[in-house]
Amino acid sequence: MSLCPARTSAFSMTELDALYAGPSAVCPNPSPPDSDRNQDQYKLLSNAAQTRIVNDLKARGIIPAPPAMNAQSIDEVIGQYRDKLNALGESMKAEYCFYYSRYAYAIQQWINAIADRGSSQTDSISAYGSRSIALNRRLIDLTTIISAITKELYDTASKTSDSINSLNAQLDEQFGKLKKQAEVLQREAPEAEIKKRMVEFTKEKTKANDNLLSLYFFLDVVALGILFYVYKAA
Amino acid sequence: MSTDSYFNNAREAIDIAVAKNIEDMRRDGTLANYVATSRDQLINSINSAQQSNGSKVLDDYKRATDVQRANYNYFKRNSDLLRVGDLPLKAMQRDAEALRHDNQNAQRQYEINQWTSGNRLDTLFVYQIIFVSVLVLAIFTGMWRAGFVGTGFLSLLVFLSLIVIVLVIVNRAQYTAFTRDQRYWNKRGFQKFTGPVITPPDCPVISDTITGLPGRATETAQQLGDQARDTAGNLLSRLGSGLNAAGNAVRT
Repeated sequence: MSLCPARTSAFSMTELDALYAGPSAVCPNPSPPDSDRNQDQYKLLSNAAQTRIVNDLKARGIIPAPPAMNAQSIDEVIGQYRDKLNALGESMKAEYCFYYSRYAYAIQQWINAIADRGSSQTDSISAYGSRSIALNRRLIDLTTIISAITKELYDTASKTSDSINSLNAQLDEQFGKLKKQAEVLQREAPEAEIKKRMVEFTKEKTKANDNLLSLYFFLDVVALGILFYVYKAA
Repeated sequence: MSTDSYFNNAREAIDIAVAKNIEDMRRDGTLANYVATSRDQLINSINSAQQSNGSKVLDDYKRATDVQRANYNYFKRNSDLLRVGDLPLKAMQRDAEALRHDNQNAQRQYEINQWTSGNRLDTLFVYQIIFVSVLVLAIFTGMWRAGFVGTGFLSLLVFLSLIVIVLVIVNRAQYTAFTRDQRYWNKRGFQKFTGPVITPPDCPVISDTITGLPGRATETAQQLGDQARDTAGNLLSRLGSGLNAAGNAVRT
């Protein structure tokens, strides 16, 4: 499936020269000069220029700032951040399709003009040729900037891994504590049962001794009675 | 022939072949068709390359946003797990603490019950002594009544029985109150000994002594050396004076 919808109508020269006017345009207007590009045959944007453009987009709020990893505010804030990222993605796609449709038309007209070359086509070749080159440069800059934004997102994600790792460490610690408490319970539960039985045993023993004490007290009284009777008997 | 000239020759040959091919197609009338086909292929390949490039970078961006979302969800899940895990941990800590407390209580109750049981048995022993003594006295009183034993013997028996009973009661009471361990019935309690106070050595003096040993050794060696030198000097001087005296004696 193609990325951008096909356009059947023609573009005028003014439309070919138009710049994307969306609110979240990422491609800088005008195009960055040669000093911001690598000095090779490809003339891609230099790393410094990419960084500067991405920082500028962040300062303008086009690249949304990632929310803090805060458990209290996580649900709503994540939803808003996700929506902003999706909106940015749609905007960049729209911007890409804007320039791509113009580029596809310009390159077709250019090649047709070259193929049908006559003296009347020289102006067309020149006009469409320069626009094709400019639009191609625009598309390449746009893809370079989108790649830089993607890299920025990955860098942000790697920074949040510290918060996640600290949570993982806390979870491990909590798991260790749970395990330790489970071991204590496992170890002391049978001991508790034994001690309960021991207490019951000693209670029974004491009760038995109490019975014996009562018995011998009674026997002592009886013996004293017998002694007194024998002494008093005539 | 150099490599560049080979390439130049090859390029020239290709140009000639292409030109010939084009000329042949023009003669055959197939040139227009060929140009149209080639043009369409070129445009399609260029557009396809651009679309692929655009799709790739936008897909990469989408994956990056998915990673961001996954990270936040991962953080949220871990936070929830941490919060949820707190409850059973606290419950288990309470249970473990309660179990430990119950165990200690049961242990102490067991000791108390054992002590009480032992105390009851001790009392039972005293009651038995009293019972046996009173029974024996009753028998001998009967015999005294019947005239088989004298009054003195009976009195002695009563006296001895009373002494034994009192001694047993006093001994048992004193032992239980003062000597027996108040926690364990079967153990004896010992007083805490207050032995002589051992004065710890004066560490700075000792440390000075230890650290001063090399210095002291040196001083002692020097003193010995001085003494040896003085002794040798004295000996030599005496020897010299002795020889002088001998020489003078010989001269005279």
